[in-house]
Amino acid sequence: MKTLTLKEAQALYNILDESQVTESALVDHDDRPVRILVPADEYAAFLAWRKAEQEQPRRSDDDPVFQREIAAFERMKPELLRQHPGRVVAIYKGTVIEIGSENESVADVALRLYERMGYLPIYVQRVEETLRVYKISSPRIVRQ
Amino acid sequence: MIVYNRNVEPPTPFLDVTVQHPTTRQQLPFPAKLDTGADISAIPATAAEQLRLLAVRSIPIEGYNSKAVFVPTYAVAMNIAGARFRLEVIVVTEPYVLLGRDVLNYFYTRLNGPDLTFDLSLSPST
Repeated sequence: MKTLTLKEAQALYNILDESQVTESALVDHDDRPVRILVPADEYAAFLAWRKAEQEQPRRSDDDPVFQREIAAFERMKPELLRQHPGRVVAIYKGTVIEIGSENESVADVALRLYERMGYLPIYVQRVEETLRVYKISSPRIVRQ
Repeated sequence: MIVYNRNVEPPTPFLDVTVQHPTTRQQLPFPAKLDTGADISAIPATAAEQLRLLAVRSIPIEGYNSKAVFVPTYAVAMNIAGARFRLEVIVVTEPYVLLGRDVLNYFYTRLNGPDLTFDLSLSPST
C-alpha cells in the first residue's frame, strides 16, 4: 500500500490527485497513520457490505472457529460417551474445558463458563449417542 | 391475574419478560407468549442480534411439518413473573418471546379462557 505523508496543508491537495487514489493509500502525519484513502467505489462497496452485515442476524454457529470446536467434539465423542455419557461438556480451542455435573443443563454450564472466562465462543453439548430432536409443534396462522 | 393479549386473534396469553445478556447484564423487554407446544423457549432474532449473543451449540428442531432443521442455541438469563431463569433458547422471526415447556413446567398456570385471563405462579394458588 502506498504511504502519503502529510507535512503541510498543500499535501492534502496533492493526495487528492486522482492518479494517487486509484488504489488504497495510507496517510500518515507526524509518523502516525491517520487515514486510509480508498477509491470512492471501493468505499461504496464497503458501506453496502457493512449494511448487509448489520442487517444479518448473527450466526456465530457458522463461524469457522466454532465449526472447529464442533469437529473436535465429534472426534472426542466416542471417548466422551464411554467416560461421561449424558453429561454436558464444554469445548474450547479443541479441548474439553468443563464437564457438567449430573443434573446440569447446557445453559447452566455455558453461563458458568461465561462468568469464569468471559464471553467467548465456547461449544457446549450434551454427550449423547443420538441428538435429541426438539419439537416446536405449534402451527401459526398467517393472516393476509 | 394477567389479561390475555386481545390484539391477536384468537386472544392469547402473553406476559412481559426481559431477556438478559449472560455477562454484560444488558436486558431487553419483550412480550412473551405461553407456548405449551414448544419443547424449548425462543427469543426474537432481533434480541440475539442486539445483545450480540454467541451460539453454544446447534440442535435439531422439528416443526409441525415434521421436518427437522439444525438451528443455533444461545444461553441467556430471562426474568419471568418475578423469577430469574438460566435458559438455552433458539431464535425465531416473531417479535416476541415464546415460553416453551422448559420454562412453563416450573409454574402453576391457570388459564381462564372465558374471561381471557390467566395466572402464572411458582407456588400453588390458595
